Amino acid sequence: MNLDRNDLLDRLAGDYALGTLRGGARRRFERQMQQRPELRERIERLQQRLAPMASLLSAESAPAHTWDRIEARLFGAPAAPRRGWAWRIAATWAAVASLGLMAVAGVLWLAPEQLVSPETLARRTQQVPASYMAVLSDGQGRPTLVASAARHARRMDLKVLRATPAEPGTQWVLWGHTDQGERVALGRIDLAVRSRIELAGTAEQTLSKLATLTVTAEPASAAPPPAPTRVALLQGPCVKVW
Amino acid sequence: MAAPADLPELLARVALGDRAAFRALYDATQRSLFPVARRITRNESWADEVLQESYMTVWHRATTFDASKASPMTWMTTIVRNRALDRLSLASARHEASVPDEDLEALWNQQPQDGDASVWADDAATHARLHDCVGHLEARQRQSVALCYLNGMSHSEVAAHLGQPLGSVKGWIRRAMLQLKDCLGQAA
Repeated sequence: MNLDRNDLLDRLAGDYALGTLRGGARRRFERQMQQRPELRERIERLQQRLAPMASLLSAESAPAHTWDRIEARLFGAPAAPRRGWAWRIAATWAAVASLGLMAVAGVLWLAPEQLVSPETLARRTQQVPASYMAVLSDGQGRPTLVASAARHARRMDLKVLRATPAEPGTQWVLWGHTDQGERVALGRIDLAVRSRIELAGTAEQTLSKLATLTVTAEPASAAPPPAPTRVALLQGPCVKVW
Repeated sequence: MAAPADLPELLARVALGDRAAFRALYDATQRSLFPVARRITRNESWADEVLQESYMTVWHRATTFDASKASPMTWMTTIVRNRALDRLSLASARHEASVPDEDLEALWNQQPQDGDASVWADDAATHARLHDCVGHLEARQRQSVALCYLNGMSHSEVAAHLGQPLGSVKGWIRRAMLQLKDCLGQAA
């Protein structure tokens, strides 16, 4: 595609902003936009000027669960719903207890020898917390994803070392495999940014029998399939760290 | 009606990782953005997914929002449209859903939706300019542009929907976009 031709550029810019440039052609054009700031600015200007067309649409609420899912996907769990007076009393007591705990933590921080012997403190602070951990690498052996979960936590943190966008129509799914060949879907994941997934139980319950974690590209759908349908893109051993 | 939300302020706070501001931004804008995704995908569940992904993008990219280049609503609308169009590329199954036969001409003649007019308040001048430029298009051009932009239709879908030859529809749209670009560009 010769994008130096101004009329062709104009036509493609119009098609892109209008939304009629689709599929591979749209993605190729987006790559051109990334490489050519002046082209990107031109498109952005056109998109901004067309955008108020959306104000013509009748307002319509998203499903009630949408916000909870956004929160869960970004932060790991939906916010707690509003509760009644009994919950507020309990929360007040919990806050008081937390203040006490913070006081203890403060003493630990400022004068740990008052509560813990220096030997114990040194031993504790130099240890990695009891966790499950996996470093998943791609086919060329490049570390791409670090998965870790504290032993008694119910969620797993995912740190992306090499951002790998999913192809259109697919989603990344993280799987656990036992030495006996059993496998379990741990959840859909995002290989673009640091994220977190909820585990079905504690890490101890969910991960202790797993020997390997893998990531496959599965067809985009509401839930992962019962078993991987593609060859693993990433894989790595799942180990206990304690 | 509640006082209009200060969207630039909310986005600035979101950029600092303020989750309460993020919730307020969602509450203020989701009713205007969900229909954008739903019309393009023509699928409630996909629109839900698109909206989730779009707000996740807003959270992650709020630091890149430049108020000197775009209003919050145009920035977020563009994110939602791009996500919805990406999703459209995934499957042709969307077209099992029929396209409502509606009077798109009437859409151009109405005022912004009363309930959510406030979120578009920053775009009043851009909207007026767009309305003026669109008013200079022929009716069939206007209809074709609306079918593409609002309903996420491809050239061939517009041709089938209007019962017109594909080549003619492509020509109308191409000329409409050139006219719009020139007309809107004068507002720069």
